[in-house]
Amino acid sequence: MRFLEPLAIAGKNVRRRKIRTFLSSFAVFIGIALLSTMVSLGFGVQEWLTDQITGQMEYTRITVSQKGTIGSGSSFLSGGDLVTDAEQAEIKPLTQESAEHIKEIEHVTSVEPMAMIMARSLRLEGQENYVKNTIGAGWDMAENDPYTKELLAGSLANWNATPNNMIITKQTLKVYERSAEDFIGKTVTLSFSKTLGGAQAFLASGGEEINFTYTVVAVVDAGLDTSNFLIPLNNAGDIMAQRSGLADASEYFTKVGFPVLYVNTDDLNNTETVAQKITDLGYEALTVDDLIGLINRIFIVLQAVLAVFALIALFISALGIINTMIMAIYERTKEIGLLKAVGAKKGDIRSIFMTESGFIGFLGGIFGTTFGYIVSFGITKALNVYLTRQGEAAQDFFAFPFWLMAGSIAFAVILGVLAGLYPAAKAANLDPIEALRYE
Amino acid sequence: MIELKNVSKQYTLGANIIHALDSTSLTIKDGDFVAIVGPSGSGKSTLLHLIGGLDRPDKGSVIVDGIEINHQKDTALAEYRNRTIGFVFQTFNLLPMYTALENAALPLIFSDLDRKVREKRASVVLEKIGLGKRLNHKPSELSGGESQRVAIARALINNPKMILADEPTGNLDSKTGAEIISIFKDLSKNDGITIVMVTHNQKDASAAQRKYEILDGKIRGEEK
Repeated sequence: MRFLEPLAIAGKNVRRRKIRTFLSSFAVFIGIALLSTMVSLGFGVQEWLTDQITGQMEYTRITVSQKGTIGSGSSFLSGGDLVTDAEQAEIKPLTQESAEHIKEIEHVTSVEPMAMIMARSLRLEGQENYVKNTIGAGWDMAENDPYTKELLAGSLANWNATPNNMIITKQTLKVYERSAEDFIGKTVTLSFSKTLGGAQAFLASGGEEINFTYTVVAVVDAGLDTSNFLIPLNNAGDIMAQRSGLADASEYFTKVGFPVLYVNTDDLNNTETVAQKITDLGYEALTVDDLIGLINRIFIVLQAVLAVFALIALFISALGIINTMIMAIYERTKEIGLLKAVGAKKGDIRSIFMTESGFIGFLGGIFGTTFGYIVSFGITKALNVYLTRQGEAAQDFFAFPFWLMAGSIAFAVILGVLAGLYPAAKAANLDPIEALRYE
Repeated sequence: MIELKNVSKQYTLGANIIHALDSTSLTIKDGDFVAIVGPSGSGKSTLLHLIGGLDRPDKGSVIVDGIEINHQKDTALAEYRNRTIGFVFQTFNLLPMYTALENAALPLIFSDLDRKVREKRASVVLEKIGLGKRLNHKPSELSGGESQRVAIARALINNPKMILADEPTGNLDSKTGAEIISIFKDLSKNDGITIVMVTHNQKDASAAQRKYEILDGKIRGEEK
């Protein structure tokens, strides 16, 4: 039999039983539509999220923290780490001295300490409303750092040279619903609990408060970052020193250390090597690659869960195809007998039936992929409508690459062919004499 | 030449063993028109299936042109059915969604021929058999006699050595049946095609050159 001959025969048989073909391919359609939509959305959102996060990061930068802190992320995800006193004792603080050490590593160009700040409130001069439970950072951010997606007002030139200068972010802007220009030159007060530390200081109200005041010099769009403000590192050190009963920032950084060090390297190719050296020194080192890897891992888990649902749908559709094909064999037993009598080999009968079931899969695949494309497109459009209403810029989440289209259809065809394996073998092995006698 | 040598074939039907053929021998010469008669279950059809390579004997051998076909592989037998044999059945066995032309051309699909070549050849054969104007009709639009002619065209399409016909007139009225028989006579006489026909119909049988009777799995001798 010629290569394309089974396709012509399958086409005829499929046309003869339109409704049945439609129904069995419908199950494939649902499965493939689900699968392709999920992959498309997962892929689109993942791509967007990765772009957003990495777009704001210096690829050559390593985020260094103490072992067992936020840098590893593990205690947040697992609900606490089990350690021994000995292990705990080995944890080295990130002091001025360690910063110097790290700076001596080959390929390291600079080290920027950073401190996260949680304040009870942020008050803008002349406003009755204030921001409660606010997060920011003490960091001498460079003027051209990619953290700043866009400068909305003011200037970043030497902003940290003057103590008590402050940069506020778009997050704060949104809360106050005012234009960026309005903030420039205004005084902002951060309030902290004097006695309560850690999360309690952040959440509890009442008790004695200490206040620090700053002048806004710039407003920036920091993308997905949820910080409200940035202040110079030394100002952050002063806050922490005062609350720990130490004299000033320099005493705090020497004795207690920096929460985080941003370590910049000269080249992307050296980043991993430097990160390894820092890890060897006994600190946590997180590179952009690590972060992308983490995002990817989360998405893989998410997609796996979603794919399981689609696979269940496809498994059921495979059962449907098997059932349809077995029915077809009963219906066409005599025809199979005749084909054998006029010279069809077992392999010919097998390929005729497998082509037919593959064709059912193909139909389901074509329609499923088309539908998946439309649904995915619709969902991302709806998401954008939502984002726009929230005052955010529309995003391009939609991703339905060619490989997904071709892959989905190919998958449906393979599914159909596999589902046809058993019925086709059954048909091929029919005894021609009994088949011809069958009524 | 077709030779059956001491051929036995038995079936189990429920608890009973049926000796469809019991150490039977038979020789059919090329170009002969042979009728095989006998009551139901006498082994007539089994004989046809063994010659046609649809079945294999339990004992003995079936030799066609010196080749013992019962020892051939499945694929070789399929090719033998495709090129050497043409089957004609009582119920025509045409495929309902195919036209007369496509039905007649069907065996050529398994001879790896191009569609155009197949249909060209089928139209010639159908023309010859008097169905030139029915090429694009579906079986549901054809009469019984026309359907059986399409089936004969299908049997002839690959220039076979022999036609094996199983009650070919069983579903036809006597006039149409007689027309079919005369086609067979013609094929045997003018084209040298061997015809082996199983029938209940004594009148059809007497139209053949030779008549054998099978009873209880044994061939009871040649008449005429």
